[in-house]
Amino acid sequence: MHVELRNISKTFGRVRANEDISLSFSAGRIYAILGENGAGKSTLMKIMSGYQSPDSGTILIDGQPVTFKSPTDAIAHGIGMLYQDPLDFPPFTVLENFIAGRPGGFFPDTAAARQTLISLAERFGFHLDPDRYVDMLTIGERQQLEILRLLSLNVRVLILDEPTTGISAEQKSALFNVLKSLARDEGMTIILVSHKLEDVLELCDEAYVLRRGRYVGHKTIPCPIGDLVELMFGKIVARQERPPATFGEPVMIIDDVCLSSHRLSVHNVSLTIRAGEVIGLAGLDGSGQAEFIRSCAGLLTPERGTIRLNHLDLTRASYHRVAEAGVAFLPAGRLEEGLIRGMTLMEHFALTQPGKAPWVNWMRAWQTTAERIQTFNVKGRPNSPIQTLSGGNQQRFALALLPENLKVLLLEHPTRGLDVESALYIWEQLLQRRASGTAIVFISAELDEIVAYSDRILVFFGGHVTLVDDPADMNTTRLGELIGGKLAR
Amino acid sequence: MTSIPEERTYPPRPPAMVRPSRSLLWRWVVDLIPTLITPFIGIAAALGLVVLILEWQGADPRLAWQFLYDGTLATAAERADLMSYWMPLAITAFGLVLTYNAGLWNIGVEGQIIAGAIGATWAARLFAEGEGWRAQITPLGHGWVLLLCFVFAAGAGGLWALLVALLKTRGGVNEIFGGVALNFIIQTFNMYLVSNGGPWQPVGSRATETAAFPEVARLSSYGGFRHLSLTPIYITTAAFILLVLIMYVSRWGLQLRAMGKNLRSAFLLGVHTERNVLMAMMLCGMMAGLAGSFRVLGPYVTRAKLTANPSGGIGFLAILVVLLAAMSALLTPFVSFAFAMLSKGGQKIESGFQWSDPPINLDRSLVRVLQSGIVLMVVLAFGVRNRYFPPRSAQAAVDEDEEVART
Repeated sequence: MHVELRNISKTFGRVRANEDISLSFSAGRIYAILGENGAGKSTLMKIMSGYQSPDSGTILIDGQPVTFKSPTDAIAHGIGMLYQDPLDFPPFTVLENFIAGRPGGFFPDTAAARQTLISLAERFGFHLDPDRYVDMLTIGERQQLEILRLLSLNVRVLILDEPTTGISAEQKSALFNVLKSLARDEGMTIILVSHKLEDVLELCDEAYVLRRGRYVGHKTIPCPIGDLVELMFGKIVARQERPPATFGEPVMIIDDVCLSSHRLSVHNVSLTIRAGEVIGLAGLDGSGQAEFIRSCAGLLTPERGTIRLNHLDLTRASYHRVAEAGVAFLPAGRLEEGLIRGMTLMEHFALTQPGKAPWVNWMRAWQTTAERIQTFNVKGRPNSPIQTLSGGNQQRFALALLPENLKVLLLEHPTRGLDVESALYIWEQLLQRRASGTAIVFISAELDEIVAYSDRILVFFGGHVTLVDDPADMNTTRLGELIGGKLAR
Repeated sequence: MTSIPEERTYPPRPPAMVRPSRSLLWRWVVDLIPTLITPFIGIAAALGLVVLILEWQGADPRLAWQFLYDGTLATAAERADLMSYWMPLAITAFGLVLTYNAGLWNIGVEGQIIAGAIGATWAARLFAEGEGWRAQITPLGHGWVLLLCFVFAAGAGGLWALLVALLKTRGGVNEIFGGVALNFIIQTFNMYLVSNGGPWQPVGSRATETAAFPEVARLSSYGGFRHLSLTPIYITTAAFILLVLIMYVSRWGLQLRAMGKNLRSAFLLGVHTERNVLMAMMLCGMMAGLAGSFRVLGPYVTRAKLTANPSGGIGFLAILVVLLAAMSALLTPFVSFAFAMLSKGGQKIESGFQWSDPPINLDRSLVRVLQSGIVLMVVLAFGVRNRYFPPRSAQAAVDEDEEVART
């Protein structure tokens, strides 16, 4: 079965999730859809599996155009998707989950379904007890169940969204073996959606790379890891000469910090940040940068190690305590974390302006807001609700809200979703702050941004950290290897 | 296939929708008209529903309207009664304006009213009835006893609400579930106090209520109106002024509104969200507790005793009031007045039709149908409007300057 996507486009409000993407998938091969968070790979696969419909463009199966009204419809056409979080019903048994979603009468034929399940599981070497409850299973076993369910529905194209997150190494190799045999022996098409380069190199025959909603390139595997990194992150432009920065005293001292969240553990990070220094955090999404920056902001308590600001121990301090000490944090999701939909610019200012008085001086709030939006070039009025501003203006406004004279400014993807001009403006503002002695720590998925602005780079891979002291002589190959985890191991 | 874009360039956007530049005032008016009309569509729909029910029962809707008027506004005595009914409803709604703006769905307000009623009764028994060791204390004057009753009522209501808030912030129990559970508990506790030989039921009595409070623990009536007392009016007015100051002037009110719109962002912008949850809930509970004390100490509703149902459901009614007032502090007094009128007039509608010729049996709960119907229909009308005719403020609008630049 040959599947082709032709000129697929999809927008959500102002966000162009997919722009004119055309890809083709042949039987018997394993494909990777690569891309950073927000590159549009999930949207594309949801369109392909009938979960969403495209704004424009067509899906062709063996040359015939098809439209899917629902995922069930797509499965009937032979395309099934395995979601990142298994879509099952935990209070039910394995067998009951297997039956649910299968076509059948009001009274399902339990005995036949049990036979199918057992024989399929045997064929692929999965050990699944039909009578166990699903909430007792591991994520890997739930995946196996879901794969068997899709196979029993005669799916010929299997899409897997980040299937290796949260499963053990043995389960991963078992999964990969099954996927390989499905492609080689049964002629199925396997599509792996991932940003994990190692998985892609291990499993796939070909990779399609998406960036910012567009298709940017195709590689046949094996290929140098640097090529894939370059496609995913963009070319590293030669770094421009910068006036040598002078750094002040150390402001934040991170000593041997270990963190753990439900996704991964970050091991032994030590870093001394000096006043006026810019530190870029690089790495594939979910490698530990977010956890690290949140622990610096007081939102995640380290399991071990200390975080000090000058001589103040902030290891276990609350977010508000850390903020009082002069550390500000600007998260990535502007309207989810940071700004308040439905409130005006002036109300935001009134909310964040320090002051002892229990009342709000609205006159002064209006004046300050008017001044600040002029200084920061925000296109909006003091009484505009924040959600009516464009992304770039929201980000500029978020910067305008930050108190002056910060010791450390922590930023997550400060220019994500912004056009070139807005991004440049944001960095102008940030560099001004740095000139006045504020240390800046930022996460970015754009390697050129990291190389251009950082004085030092911290590369994260699977919770391990490598410090790059001189970004000036950083090249694609080396960074690619660091990000892909060749040296960190 | 497409080539690899090297830079962050986007193709030029399609020409922006041509929107003639209208004056700001005009836009504002255009936005305002549906906002003003929408609630009336909802109210009309609910009234239509009730008229249909009345016609179906063979009752003349105009007569019902007449009874409603007779029972509430026709005479000075009825107006005084209406006032006494309105005050506890209003002060409860004021408290709810605080929590609802902060995104806290304080369903437990009904229980907080009962807690206030129990608190006031307890104070009356402690300081006015003088049994046992309490007889040794110098008898307190009228003012002092009442003050203590109010303090105990506000304290009990506030603590009962604080419990809901602590369950939420410390125990991870949603305030809706915590509130519903605590409502049941306090209702049962109240029943235990006044029924089946409970500790507060007078010996030998079979009525599920306490004995009437002594004179020093009663709100005195005003002028010639047997049922009207001025104290609740003063307290409720003070609560309203406090509410307006909080919501429109204070920094705290701004913080509460921010929390209601986005708790996470408010926290990240420096708002002490947990502390504010506790404080808003407690203040709401205190106001509800005072409402409970108006109900038991006043000469109108229960005639100075704690009964089996001291709140009479005004907590739930206040929830409807605040929803209909769109959580606005300034609209709440009017909406609560309208609802007090409907509730009180409903009794007259029931008795009026009973004695009409021929007698028609209408239950007073018909008014509840109307009240809930109005809220439902108005909320529905706004929902429909936001879905199909979204106001400008609800759209992710394009920057005007960008628009201008492009045209």
